[in-house]
Amino acid sequence: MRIVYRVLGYLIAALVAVQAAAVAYGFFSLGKYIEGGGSIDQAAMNNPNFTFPGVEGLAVHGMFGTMVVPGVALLFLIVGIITQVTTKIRGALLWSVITLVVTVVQVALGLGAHSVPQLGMLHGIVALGLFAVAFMAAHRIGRASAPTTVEAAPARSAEPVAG
Amino acid sequence: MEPDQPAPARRRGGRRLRLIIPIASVLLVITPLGVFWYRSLTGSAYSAVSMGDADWGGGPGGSMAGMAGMDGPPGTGSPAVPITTLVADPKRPADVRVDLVARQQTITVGGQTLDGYTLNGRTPGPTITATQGQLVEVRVHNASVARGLTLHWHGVDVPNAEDGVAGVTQDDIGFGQDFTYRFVADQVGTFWYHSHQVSDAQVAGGLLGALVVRPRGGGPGGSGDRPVAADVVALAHGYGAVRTLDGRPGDQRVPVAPGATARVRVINTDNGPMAVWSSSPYTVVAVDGTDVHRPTAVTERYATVTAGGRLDLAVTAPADGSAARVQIGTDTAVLVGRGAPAVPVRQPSAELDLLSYGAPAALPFDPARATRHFTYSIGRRPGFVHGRPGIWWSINGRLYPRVPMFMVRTGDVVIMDVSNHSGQVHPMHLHGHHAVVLSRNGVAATGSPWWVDSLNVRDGESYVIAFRADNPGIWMDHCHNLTHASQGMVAHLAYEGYSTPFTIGGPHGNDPE
Ligand SMILES: [Cu+2]
Repeated sequence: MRIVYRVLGYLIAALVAVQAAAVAYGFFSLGKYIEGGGSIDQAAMNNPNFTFPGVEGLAVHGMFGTMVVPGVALLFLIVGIITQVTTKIRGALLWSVITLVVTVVQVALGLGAHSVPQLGMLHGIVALGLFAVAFMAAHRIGRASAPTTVEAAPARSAEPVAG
Repeated sequence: MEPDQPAPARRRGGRRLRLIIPIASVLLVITPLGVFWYRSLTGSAYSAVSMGDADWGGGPGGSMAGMAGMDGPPGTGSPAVPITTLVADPKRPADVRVDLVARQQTITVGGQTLDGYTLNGRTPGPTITATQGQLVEVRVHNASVARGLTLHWHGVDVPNAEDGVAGVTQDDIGFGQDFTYRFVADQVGTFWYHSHQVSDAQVAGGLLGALVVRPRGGGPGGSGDRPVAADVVALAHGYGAVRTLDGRPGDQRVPVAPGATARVRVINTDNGPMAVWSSSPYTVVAVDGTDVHRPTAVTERYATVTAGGRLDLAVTAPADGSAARVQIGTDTAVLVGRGAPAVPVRQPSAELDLLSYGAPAALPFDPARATRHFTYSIGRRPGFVHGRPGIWWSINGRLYPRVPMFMVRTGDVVIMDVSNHSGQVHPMHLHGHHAVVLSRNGVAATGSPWWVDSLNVRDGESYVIAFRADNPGIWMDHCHNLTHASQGMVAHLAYEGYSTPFTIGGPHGNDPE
């Protein structure tokens, strides 16, 4: 289970990198399209047949951001629960909870930025935070060893449960 | 959602507890997800009237509790009347007869070839023209549209059985089949028709056309205050990245004499709002097919044409012999006049506000005596639609198909609060009725009665609209960004006591969005 935990943690970090790459690619492509004389408005963006070279970047960012990353983060929580209880590695659950919470905040910021573009700045910064949290989770829990005491795990203190 | 802190286990139960806790915690996370997923499934075939929860808007009705799965609408005590009976007088002969052959084929627009649809070999299809009061009969033959099609008469308050919504008012017209639409063109104005089967793809692919109803005894477009020298349709449609007017990219010429006026009927068939502005003053003479009362000349303002909506503009060719440039979005324009066109003008930064445009006039009903009051609140939240996880559009906080079913009786005066806090604009379209805008963001309308069938509701905006329930049947009330509609932004207005024999899905493959 620890391996699964580690893989999922690194996967989330990798997806964050993909997200950053995709959105940057999409917007630079859009800029090039407009510089080349193309025009775009809300109707074009909402036309199922409308494309410009590089539009995939924006499409991937939207789809991954609303479906794939939250899905993996949720899976990570489930794996975190199982890892915590079966291996008794301290912090496995905590780190997966933190990862999920940061993911939820990040998605909310991404959606909210459509109404309040200033939130987009936080969206960019929190992306770095999510990358770090997921990476740390995978790194720390992935190589941590189980406590040596065979005794039943006492009530874990390191679990400030997020709301 | 987070699991509770595990209780300190006693030694004896510790082992078992260590097994139960992870299982219970995981179930705690997964079970609600499974329930939400399951509830988002609509089954292979379902009736539009069984969707969601009956909302009586504070008015009478629903003596029997709302029941899903019945063939009648919720709250029906007596056997329901099938909406197939709601047709134009079958004995009356047609005044305007049109035959349309629909094909699925590659089309070439502005040098770009793409998969699309044609009607009588062209897209957009032929403009259908009628005089007020005439009975229009349109026979549609499906020569090669694989998933079938329908035609919906956007903005025309037709009898319900002629509304052309697959799975709600008819079965889609399958490969090789025919269907005949019949309705009396009572309303003067600019309308359009389009498929309401797999409409997201079919409308984008060009399965649409214009419909113009002229007043009795009027000259060309003589419904406004002034006579016009030319009356043209400017049907705007984006085929992929190519923006067109009547299927042609670029500028279209309307060669009227200097000082003469042209009526330009702008139809927005795309999924988003479109700006129109002009190098010369223009007058908005009609909105969504209804004349504006005492419109005034507009300068240095752009006007917004809602997705699905129409604006009729009166533009006079400059006296110096040049041509006025009426910009329909950034890429296309109508040039009114014979001479050299004005140079392109930048889109004005200020918008014409229809809330205060024109002069007030009496309404045909009193909104203060409304008998029902509905809320249509548009949001966005995570969940499942058709079993697919994502962040979806919500109506009153709920996702398709658990959206409200707005229930009315004939003769009701209905008020609806439409608000949007979803982060994006939504062009809301109510079938079969025209509603008048009473206020926006709490500011009352002060101009001409602003009648709409398609209303541009931006993020953060709230509108109060009113309409009279005078056209029985089951009517879609949905977002005309058809991609959004296909993502579940669809509710219905249903009259008590009516039922539909048609189902969405099922062996016929009806898929209205
Ligand atoms: Cu929408």
